[in-house]
Amino acid sequence: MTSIEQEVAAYILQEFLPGEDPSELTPTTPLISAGIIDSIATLKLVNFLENTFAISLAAHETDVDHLDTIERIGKLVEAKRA
Amino acid sequence: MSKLGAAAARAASNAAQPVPLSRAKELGALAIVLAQVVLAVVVMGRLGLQSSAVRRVLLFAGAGFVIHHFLPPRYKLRFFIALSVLAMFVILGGTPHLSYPDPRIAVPRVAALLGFGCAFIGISLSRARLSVRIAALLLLTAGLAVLRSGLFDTGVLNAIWPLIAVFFMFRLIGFLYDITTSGVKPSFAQSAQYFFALPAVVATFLPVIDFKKFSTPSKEAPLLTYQRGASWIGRGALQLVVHRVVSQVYYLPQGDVRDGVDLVQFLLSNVFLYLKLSGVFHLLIGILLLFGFNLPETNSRYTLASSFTDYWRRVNIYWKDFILKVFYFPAFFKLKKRGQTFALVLSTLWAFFATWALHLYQTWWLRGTAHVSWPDTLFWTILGLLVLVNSIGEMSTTKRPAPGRKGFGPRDAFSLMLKTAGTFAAITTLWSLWNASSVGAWLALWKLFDLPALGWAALALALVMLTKLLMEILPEIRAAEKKSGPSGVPLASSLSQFNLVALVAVLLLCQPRVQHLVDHAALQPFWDASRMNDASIEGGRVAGIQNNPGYYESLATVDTPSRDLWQTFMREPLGTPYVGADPSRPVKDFRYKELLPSLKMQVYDTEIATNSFGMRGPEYTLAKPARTLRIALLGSSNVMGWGVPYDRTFGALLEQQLDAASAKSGWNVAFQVQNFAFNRYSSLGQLDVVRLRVARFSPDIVLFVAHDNDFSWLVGDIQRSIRERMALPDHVALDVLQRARVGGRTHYEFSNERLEPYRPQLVSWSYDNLSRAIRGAGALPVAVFLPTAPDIGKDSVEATEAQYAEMLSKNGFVTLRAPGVFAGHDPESLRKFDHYNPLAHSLIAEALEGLLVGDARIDLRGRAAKAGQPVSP
Repeated sequence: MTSIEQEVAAYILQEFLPGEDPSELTPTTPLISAGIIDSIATLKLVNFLENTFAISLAAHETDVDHLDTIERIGKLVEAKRA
Repeated sequence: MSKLGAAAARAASNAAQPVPLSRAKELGALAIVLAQVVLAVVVMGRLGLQSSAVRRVLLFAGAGFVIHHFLPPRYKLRFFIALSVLAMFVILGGTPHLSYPDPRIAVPRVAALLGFGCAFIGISLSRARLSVRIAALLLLTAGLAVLRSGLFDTGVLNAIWPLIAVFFMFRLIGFLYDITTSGVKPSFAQSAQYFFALPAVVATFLPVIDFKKFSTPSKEAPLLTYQRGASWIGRGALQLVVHRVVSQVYYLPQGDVRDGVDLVQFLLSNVFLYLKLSGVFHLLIGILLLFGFNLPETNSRYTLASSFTDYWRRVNIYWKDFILKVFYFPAFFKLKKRGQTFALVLSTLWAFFATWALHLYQTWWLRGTAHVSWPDTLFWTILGLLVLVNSIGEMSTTKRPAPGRKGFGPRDAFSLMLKTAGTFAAITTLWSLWNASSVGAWLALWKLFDLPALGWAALALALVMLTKLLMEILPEIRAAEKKSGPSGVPLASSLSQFNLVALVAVLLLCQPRVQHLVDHAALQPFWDASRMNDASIEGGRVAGIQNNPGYYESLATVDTPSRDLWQTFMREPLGTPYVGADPSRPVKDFRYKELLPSLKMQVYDTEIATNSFGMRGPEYTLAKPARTLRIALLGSSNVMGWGVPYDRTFGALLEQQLDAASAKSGWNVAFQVQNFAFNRYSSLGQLDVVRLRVARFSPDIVLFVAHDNDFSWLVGDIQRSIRERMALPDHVALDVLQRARVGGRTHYEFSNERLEPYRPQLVSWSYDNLSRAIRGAGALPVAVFLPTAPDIGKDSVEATEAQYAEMLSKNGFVTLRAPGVFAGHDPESLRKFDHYNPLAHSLIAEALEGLLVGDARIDLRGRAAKAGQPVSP
């Protein structure tokens, strides 16, 4: 995992998956399509990403194409920062 | 398995290369999938679930997916479109009279559907600016709305306007949003595949399938996707079976709620009516999975939601996703600079406002009319506010550990169960408001809530808690302890096995032999439910016999604007329901309704005017004027004169003719023929007409017009009296119904069928009561049997007339015989809207005048002489 991915994974584990085994959360674990991240969690995650990585997301970027896995989130953040 | 465990399993499954199967194993797996689809279709066919069109499309899918599976990838898209268009021809060419599609009907319908569809897609994909494309789409929609409004008769195309709306009304919005925000335009063929997808042609309720999810190539092994599709089809069929039982055995309409226990039954049966929508969604999405479209679930154990946000996420998931994508997130992102909470409040309220408005929009397209109602508005407002309160809470707190995870204890489990029961209670209450006729009527129901109701409600909630524990909490704890990984090929999954076993069990229980083996009166309602079909239930609704329960049921109601579409789907004639002004009001006696007094309105193409007593005709005094003979006329809509001006009804004509006869014979009396008839009054209803109305006017003669409907209407009214707990004159009728296993809610087809052997006994019972009531009012009971307008000309009329004349005579009536009243006339020349037309009325008046004047038992001359004598001071 990249450092961005690690930060995101830590946030997701703490905020949305308390008590879970961290080793089960991999970069390719589906988050939205598996119901781990719901609508309110999406808003919280967006807030976290925008504040932590100083980026700005658009409404249509809240979908599975961009936020469904830690890997995709990492790529989105990197693309936004580039 | 926890959500994370399941997600990890799915990721591993997606990453793994599918193990190549031998051709024999592959064929075996496909055969198993196909067998499950066929089993679901057989069960649906046996129970008449959904229209025959839905079952045909399922068979289409069953055959098509096997071919689709073996096709090279480059042909799959074209094949799927071709199969979808072929299904359109087969389904839309259906008529009530043919078992095969009629090309003269199919071709114009499919051409119009494809034409409008291609125009919608073409405009959306064009290179024009977004505002120009939206304007063009709105213009096209407006044109379609004009056609849908019924302003013009479009012949065979009438059926498809609501269907085009189903194809495009919501998915086009999401599609346009996706292609605009992603900047990637799909090909025309990909778009056509999405919009014209096979199951859409039979869907009056189509889940708002997300274009991106539909178009994203699946990473899952195809056989697993097919199996999930077959599993969902099976689950959908089972949900429809449960819906049949709920709606036909347990459902209690609002009007039948009499006490607190009824209220609990009303609340619970109402909320489970949603199974119809959920079942249909499972079928439709299951079909798409058979073709490899890896789509998510449409509903997920919504009765086990533990909060309102959780409910919103579990029920109609596709709708929630559509609203989030197009309304909620864009609004939130626009507003979030002004604070997270502010944005959350406004975007949530905006999302629910959009949901409310789009439901009205959907209602208009499907039914041709839509009205803003307080129950509907309050339902969405309250649900929106409850979701908002939950959302604010979730926004400011961290999630609690899931069952089986560190930090999750027995107290958490109990708290989760309590929350689930609370959410279920609130949603059930809200749902009943949504389906109520008015807020006032709904509030009045709650006055009935008492201690027994509390007990039953507590029991229901305890069951919800137990179900939550057994179906969600304990399995998650067990999975966490085992650290279970991917569950392997789900062909052997417990859910599929349950579906299969349950479907086979349903099929067995539908067999008359099995039903005969476990024959018991308490099981009769279930056996009756198994013998119904959705077409006859809809037919009953058209005839006003069946109740029309929930919101989604009412959306599928067959009314004039949607009748052509339903006839196409069901291939059965559904009749023409009357749509127009209602000149009646409900009453709490066996008449159940009466004409409004002092009324003047246009009904059934005729002006209906009533006097202050609610009768068609002139104003009367209660006291009989001197030198007057009064005849009270009892009957139903044919006697009342639906569709005929009052002065051309046989009652009014008879009065004129009797007056003329009186003048000619020098009787020196005037006649008053008072018309007490009204639509669908049964011979039981006539009892209250006599007691409550006729007796006050002191008539000399009461002329009752009987017809063959007396039996079925009498049965219907006795059943209603059971439901409404009204006391019948004695136990005779109830004893007969009990012997025939007919209860208050037995479907009219079965009650008539099982009571047919008791027809003479029941009808005679009502005639005897009626003649005695008439004599009690001091009048002479006279009766005549006349065939109803639809029965005129039928071969059986003569025998029926003789049978009824005998029953009337034996039960105290002076019976007049007019079997040849319509002889020599073409039956069609005597009808209007299934009722007598003016010509029929004039023939009846002429016949009755002759019979009344010439009958010595009635002795009009003697009565006239008595009435004509000067009254002693």
